[in-house]
Amino acid sequence: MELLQILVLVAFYLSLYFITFWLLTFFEKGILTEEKELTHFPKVTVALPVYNEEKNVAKSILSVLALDYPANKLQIIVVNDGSKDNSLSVIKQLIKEHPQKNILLIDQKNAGKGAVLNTALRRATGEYFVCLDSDSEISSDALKKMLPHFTDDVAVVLPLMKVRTPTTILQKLQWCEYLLNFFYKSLMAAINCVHVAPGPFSVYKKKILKEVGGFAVDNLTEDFEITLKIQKKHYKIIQLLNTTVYTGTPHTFKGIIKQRNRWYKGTLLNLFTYKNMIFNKKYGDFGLLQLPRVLLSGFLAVTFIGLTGWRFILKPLLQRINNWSSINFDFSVFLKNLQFNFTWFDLNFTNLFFAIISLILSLTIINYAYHYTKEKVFRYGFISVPIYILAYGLLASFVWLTVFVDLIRGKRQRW
Amino acid sequence: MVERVISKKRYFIAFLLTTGIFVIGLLLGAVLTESKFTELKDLQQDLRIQLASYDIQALLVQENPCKFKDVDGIVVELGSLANRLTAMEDQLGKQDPDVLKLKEYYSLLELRHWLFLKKLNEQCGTDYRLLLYFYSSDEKTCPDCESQGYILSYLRAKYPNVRVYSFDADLDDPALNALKSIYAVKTSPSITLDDTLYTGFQSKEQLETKLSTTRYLAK
Repeated sequence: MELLQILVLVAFYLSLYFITFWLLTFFEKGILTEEKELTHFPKVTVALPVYNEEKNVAKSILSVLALDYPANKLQIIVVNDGSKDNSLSVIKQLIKEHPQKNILLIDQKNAGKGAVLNTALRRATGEYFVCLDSDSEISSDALKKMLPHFTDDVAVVLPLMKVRTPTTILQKLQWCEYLLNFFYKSLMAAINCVHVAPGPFSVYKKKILKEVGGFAVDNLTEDFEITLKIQKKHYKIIQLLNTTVYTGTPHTFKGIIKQRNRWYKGTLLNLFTYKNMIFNKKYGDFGLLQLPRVLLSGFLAVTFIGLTGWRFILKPLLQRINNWSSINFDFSVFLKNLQFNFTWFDLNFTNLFFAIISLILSLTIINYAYHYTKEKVFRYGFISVPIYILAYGLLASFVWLTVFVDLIRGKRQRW
Repeated sequence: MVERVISKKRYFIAFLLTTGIFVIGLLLGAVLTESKFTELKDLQQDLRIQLASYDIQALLVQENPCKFKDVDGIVVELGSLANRLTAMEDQLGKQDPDVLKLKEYYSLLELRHWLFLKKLNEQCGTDYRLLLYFYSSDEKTCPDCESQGYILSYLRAKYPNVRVYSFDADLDDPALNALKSIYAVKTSPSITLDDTLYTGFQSKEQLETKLSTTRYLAK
């Protein structure tokens, strides 16, 4: 058996193992759907780091202003991180238009998101601290739905994140991806395994943020890093699916590659920093299953999807195109005496069987994900789901390759 | 602080389920590959019979070859054998000894057929344009072979009187070696037309020009 086939089998086994594990978790633990009533209104600080977001920042701030929460209990801190565009004047205009609201504007030299959040954290007077990326908008019911879930051991509550008005096919794919990811995240939360509290509207208990020393500065994925620190202290993270933050996503291929490159690279670098948590029994499932899985996902994406995709789809396709161009795309002669020589012996049964199993499992998970996020599968067209299943892994593996190339060349990057 | 749990039971059940599915997949592949070997045996048998039958055919038509008209009947059969052979190659690998043996058989059949059509051309005034194509199945030694083969099957399909005989230049067969030394074939891809050897990749246009300048080319 060739090396490639063995790698594919190993990768398939691991992928299948994790999918089975999460499905079992789902059947055993279910999804947190309980709605709780907010009985008192603690003070909340919402921090909006802004960097070159003149188009989106107004919508983002307005969504915070529209939150269904007492104005005197809401402190809003907008930090302009040295934007080079018109963001600052947009923010100033907005503050002028809403004099009754408690908005604090801090204008500082560009220092990166982690530093910006720390600036806001120092000025925060709330019991809870929320970060809202300035390309995102929050539903008005968010705080009322999220705050009641805080108990003593809960450090973070996360809303469901959806892609804001997807227009390009790439955004529609990300729309599918986010629903699936957040469904998975709520399963992870059920066994205390959430590994990222993302930038858009994660609600933190401020006391705990201070306890872990705030956000990492100059970190590619400070959201992953802060979550690791919180997990290290054994606090709980809760994922809700009943309130939503809408976030902007890259609409070009180049944009998404750049974004994911930063995510994956940041993930790897932070995992390296916190390597003694990996395979560490002290952290239960988080250490034994989740962190190794996150670490392996790069390997899985590159071998399973990348190599097989290249070997069985892309390479034959390129060869075929090369062949076609060598006859100037003159197919007429073949149409004259068309014959099919397909026999069922041409198939590789092991791979075919595994492909079918993977497809069934993916569809099962997608079905549950859409059910619990209350979305219609084909809301943004029929095409996005099949493309998501077939092509998204290829994209991920391509990004991992760029990450490996960057790391080998020792390239640094900012968020 | 949450109490950390290790879901041992779930790890174990997931392990059992995954391993179960995995083993089923591997077994399924193994069993069905086994039945492919039966098919391989059949193919070998077919090729042997074919070869013997060509021998008799050759003897029969030797006396008066021009009366023999059903040239294409044989070609179609050759074609279907070639397709089955290609499928075998993909499944069992290009270096599989059984596959190599079959390929050798097939090359001999081709040689017979080529000699026969050559004779027809010489003695009966037919105008088959006969191309011998030497390729290598090793992608590294011959990256262009795939495209070259495709162009040749295109020409074969486009022009009814063109016949292409493909030989794996890496096969070590006495008859093939003789053929290679007659035409001084040293590298792949190499193509012969009307006793002239062309080495290196030939584009569709180049081949069409060669085919039409030397003699008549039926459309």
